[in-house]
Amino acid sequence: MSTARGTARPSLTKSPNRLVATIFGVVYLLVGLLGFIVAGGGVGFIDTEGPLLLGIFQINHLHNVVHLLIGAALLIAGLSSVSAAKSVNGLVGAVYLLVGIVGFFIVDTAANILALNTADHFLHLVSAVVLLGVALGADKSARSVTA
Amino acid sequence: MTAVVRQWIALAALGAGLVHLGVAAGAPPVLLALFGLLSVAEIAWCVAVLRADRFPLRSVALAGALLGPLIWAASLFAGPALSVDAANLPPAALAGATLLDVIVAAAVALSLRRHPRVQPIASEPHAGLLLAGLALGAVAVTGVALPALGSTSAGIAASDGPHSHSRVSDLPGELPGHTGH
Repeated sequence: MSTARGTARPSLTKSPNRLVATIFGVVYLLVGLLGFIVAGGGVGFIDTEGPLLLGIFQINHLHNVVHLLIGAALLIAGLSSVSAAKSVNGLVGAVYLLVGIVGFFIVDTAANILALNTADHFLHLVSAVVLLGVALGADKSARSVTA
Repeated sequence: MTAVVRQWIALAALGAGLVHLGVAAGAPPVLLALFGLLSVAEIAWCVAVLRADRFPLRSVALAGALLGPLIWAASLFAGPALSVDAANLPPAALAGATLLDVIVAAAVALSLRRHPRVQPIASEPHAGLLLAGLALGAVAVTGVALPALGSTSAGIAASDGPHSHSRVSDLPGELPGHTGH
């Protein structure tokens, strides 16, 4: 596909977007799976408070499902192509930025359906910055060739 | 200026934008408009830097980076006229945003001094170096921005929650923690 259009396909270690998408994908998949083990049956699907993952990050089952979906999307994109990784990194980064900001203001309200706490906000904002930063600022040669 | 350093400056602008957004959320109309516009401009400039690999609109960015501290100082002096009290100007939050803004201003000023006309485009660094730099910058900026956001009135209200009994009453004779009843 991309080869037919004359674009190179950088290896995983040469493309920051593919590297980030793959690493974040694996980490978020593991976090999602671990979350289900930690939460078990002791928490509701959208409870506003839940158990702590690694003793820091508050989770509920919806939070775990979101982690699994995001992890899968990132991993698939990272293993696919640079353009897919750039797109998914940018999209997930924007969603995390939104969650990082909005989530901050809905703690202790019924709208906190992801059971977010301060550690979650920190992780979401860091993830958002890295994902958006790499989507906007890296692999520019790939973008300029394919555009 | 290397690509990694340029990314850090962009992230500093993003952090300042997020904090100003938090301050605007709990501010009266005049400050809401000023800090709201400033935060949108800062976030947009961050995106532009990341996309363009250079500092766009350097003179405007330099002035804009100093606008946050200026609005803060002006609000302190003209507070009563603008219906602004101390609670609308959380010092820790605005100090955090000012720190990030000063970093942006210094970097842009340095760029203007070194390359007054055309900025050289730095080559893209190795993927691992780029990611390490980005992760370091993200942790540093979030480390400044998140506590700053937490000290805004919106952040304090969020962490106290609607049923908190830790808030101090604003009205004489009102019981603490029952302001919403």
